[in-house]
Amino acid sequence: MRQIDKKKLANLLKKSEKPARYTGGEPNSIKGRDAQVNFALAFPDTYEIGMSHLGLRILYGLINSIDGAGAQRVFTPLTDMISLMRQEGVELFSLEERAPIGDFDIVGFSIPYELALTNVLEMLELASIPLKSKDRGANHPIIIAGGVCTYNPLPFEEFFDIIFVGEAEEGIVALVELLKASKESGQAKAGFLSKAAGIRGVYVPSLGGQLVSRAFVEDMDNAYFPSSFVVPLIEIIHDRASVEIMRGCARGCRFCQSGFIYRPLRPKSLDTIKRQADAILASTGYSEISLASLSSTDCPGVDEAISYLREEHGAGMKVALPSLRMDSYSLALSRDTSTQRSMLLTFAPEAGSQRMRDIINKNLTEEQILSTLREAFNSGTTKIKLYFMIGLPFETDEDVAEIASLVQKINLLYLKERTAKKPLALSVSVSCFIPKVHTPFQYFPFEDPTALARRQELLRSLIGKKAKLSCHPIGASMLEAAIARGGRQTAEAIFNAHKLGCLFDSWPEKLDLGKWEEAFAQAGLDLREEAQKQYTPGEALPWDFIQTGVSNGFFALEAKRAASGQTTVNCFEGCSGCGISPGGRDCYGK
Amino acid sequence: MANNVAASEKYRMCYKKTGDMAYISQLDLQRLFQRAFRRAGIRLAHTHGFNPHPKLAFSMPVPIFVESEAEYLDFSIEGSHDDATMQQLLQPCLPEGIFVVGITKLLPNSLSLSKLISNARYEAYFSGAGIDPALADAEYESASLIYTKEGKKGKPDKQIDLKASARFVDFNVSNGDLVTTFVLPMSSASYINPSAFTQALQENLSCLGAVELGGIRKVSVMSSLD
Repeated sequence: MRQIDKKKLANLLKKSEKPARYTGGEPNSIKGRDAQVNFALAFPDTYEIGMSHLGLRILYGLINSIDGAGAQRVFTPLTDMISLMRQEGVELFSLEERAPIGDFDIVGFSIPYELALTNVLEMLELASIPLKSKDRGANHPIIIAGGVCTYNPLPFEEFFDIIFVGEAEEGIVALVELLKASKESGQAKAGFLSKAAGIRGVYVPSLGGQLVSRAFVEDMDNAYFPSSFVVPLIEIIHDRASVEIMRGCARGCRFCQSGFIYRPLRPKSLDTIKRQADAILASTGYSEISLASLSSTDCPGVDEAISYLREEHGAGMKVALPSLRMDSYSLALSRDTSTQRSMLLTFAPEAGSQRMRDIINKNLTEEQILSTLREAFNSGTTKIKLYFMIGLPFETDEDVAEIASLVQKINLLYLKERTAKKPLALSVSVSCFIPKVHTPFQYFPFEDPTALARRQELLRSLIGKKAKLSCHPIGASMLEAAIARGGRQTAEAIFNAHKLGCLFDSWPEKLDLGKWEEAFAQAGLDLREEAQKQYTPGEALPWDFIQTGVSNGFFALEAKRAASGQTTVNCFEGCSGCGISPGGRDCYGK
Repeated sequence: MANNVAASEKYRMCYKKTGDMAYISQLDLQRLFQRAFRRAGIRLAHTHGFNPHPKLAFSMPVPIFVESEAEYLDFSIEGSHDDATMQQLLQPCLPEGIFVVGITKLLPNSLSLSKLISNARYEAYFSGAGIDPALADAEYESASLIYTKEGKKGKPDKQIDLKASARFVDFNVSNGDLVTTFVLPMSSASYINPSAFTQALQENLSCLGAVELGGIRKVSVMSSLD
C-alpha cells in the first residue's frame, strides 16, 4: 500500500497535541500485512474513545484472522491535527501502515451514537472520498456503516454503500470473502453490492425496497472472540481487558434499545468466559478486567467467574462488573470485586416514582432500592452513584420531584445505617429520555425542552446539597432524538451541519446547537419538531423494514401497557411473546 | 510509601526509547513496562502499603519528542531469573522503539539511579543546514543563553543561565546535517531540559534561527563517579 509522506507526517506529529494517537505500533497491533482485501476499521471519535470500544476490538481480531484480509485502524483526528493535515495536505491515514484511507478496499465505520455522524463525514472528507454514495466511483473504497445506529439507517444511508445491521461476527466474514472473490474475478462494484445484499444483515441502500433481518450470533460459545487486544501506549477511557460474558437482556425495560435489539439472552458458558479471560489477560498484561454485559448478575456463573479470576490471577486483579441490578446478589458480587477501601456502587433506578418505574417496566420497588442500600451502608459503603431519566412518557413534575424524595430518604437511611465515619458521597446523574427505534417507546415524543428545563430546575432546587447532581444537556439530547428517528431528509441536515463546521457533537463543549438548527432548516426540517414526532402504537413506521425479530405487535402492546402502568414479566419469569422465539418456547440460556 | 525487605531481587535495565516511542510520556512508559513484565511472565515485586504498587524506579526521563539511547530502570522481581533469560522474555513483549540493551543484577546497597547519574550527553540534529560549524561555535561563544523557568505553585519564575549549566557544547557536520553535541546536568536539583536548551540555541544563534530541528537524542549518561 501507498504510505503518506514520512517527513510531512513527522512535522505534523511534532505539532499535534498528543502524537501517540496517530502513530500505532502498540503491542499486539498487526503491521505490514499485505492483504488482498484491505479493510480500514474506522471509528468516528478519538483514539481514546474508539480504542475502548469492545466491538472494534472484536472486529480487528476477526478481520485479521481471515485469510487474505487485513484490518487497520483509523480514528477521528482532533481538531488541532485536522487543521495541520489540511495545511500540509496530508490525507487521513491508517495507524498500522500509515496508508491513505482512500486506498483501502473497504472502510467500515462503527457508528456508536447519532452525534458521531458529522465525524464520519469529516473523516471521509479528510480521506478525499466523496461523501455521498452516488458520487463515488469504482476506484473509491466501499463505505460501510455498522453499530447500533444502523437499526434506523434512514438518516445516513445516502453516505454509505452498505449498511450492516446487527452483530457482525458472522456477516463480516462472508462480506470480506465475497469482496475477495469479486476482486479475483474482476467483478464490478455494482455486481458485488447486489450479491452482498444476499448476506444476512446487509442492506444496500442503492438497491432499495428490501426487508433487512439483523444478523445475530446463535451460539456465543462458538462465536469469534479475540485472544488478544491491542494494548494502547497512551491512556484510554476504558484501559483494561474486557470479556463479554453475555449478549442480550431478559429484563425488557421499555426505553432501552439494547434490551430489544440484542434479544434473546445468550450467556456464555463459564468455561468460555474463563478461557477468553485467561487469553486476554495473558496477551495484554492488563491487571484489570471488565466482565461486560447488559445485566451482569443475570449471567449464570458470573460469581464463579469472578472467584476464578481472583484466584487464578492473584489478589491484584481487579474485576469490574458493570450494569448491576439493585439486589443483595449484586452487592455480594461487587464486594468481591473491588478493594474494600473506596467502593463506589453504581445503580440505575431510572425513575423516582413507583408509577414511572412501572411505566418503563423497570420492575424495581422502592423497598428493593432502600434495602439494597441499607445492606451496602451496613457494610461500609460511602459512595453511591444513581442514574435517572426525565422526560419519560406520561411523566409529571410530581414524578420528577420523587427523585428528590428518594435522595432525601437515602440520606436519612445513611445516617441511620452507616458504619463508616465519612459522610455519604451521593451523586445523581439525570439524563433526558430519548425515544429510540425498535423499542416500545419508539412511538413517543421527546419531551418539550422547556418542560425538561423546568424539571431540571425543580430537581436542582429540591436536591440542593443533598447530592451532587449532574443533568445532561437538553440540546444535545434533543438533537440525538431528532436524528435517531429521522428519515431520509435528515441526511441532508447532517450533510449541512458538516458543511457548517459541526464536529465532535457528542462533546458538550463542541456542540453548536444553533448551527444544527440552521442545518435542519436548510433541509426544510425543524429540529424540535423532528425530535417531538409522535406515532400511534401499531402504525407502520419508517424503519420497519429493518427487522429485529421482535414483532411490532409486541412493541404496540408494550406501549399500551405502559400507558396503563402495567408491567411485563422478564424472560426468566415467563415468555412475554415478543416474537424472537417463534412458538413461544424458552429462548434464553439454550 | 511502604518499603520492605522481602525475598525480592533487584535489577538494573538499560534500554533505548527511539522512533515513535519518543511520542509517549513517562506515565505511558510506566504502564507499558508494567504490562510488558506481566506479558513476559516476570512477576514484579510490589510495595506492601495500603495501595501496593510495583517497585519500579526510572532514571530522570527524557522529555516527549526526545529519543534516547540510554534510559535506565531499576526493578525488583519476585523469585529469581537469569539476567539473559529475562531480557529474552521481555524484548518480544515490548513495542518497536523500546529496545533492552542489557539487564544486570544489582548488589545490595547499590547507589540509586538518581544518585548515580549526574550528566547526560545529547545530540541535536539540524537537517540539511549547510552551516559552517565554526560560525555556530563563534556565535555560541558570544551569545547569552538565559532560560526563564516557570515557577511552580505560585513561586516566582527562575532565570537560568544555560551556558553556565552546560558542561560541554560542540558543533559538527555529519551526513550533511549540523549536529550539536551538549552535556547537561541530570540531577533533579539542577536538571536542564534538552528541548529547552535546543530552543534557546535556535533563538539566540542567528545561524540556527531559520533551520529546521530534525530531532534530539540522548546518547549517553555520565556518573558522578566517573
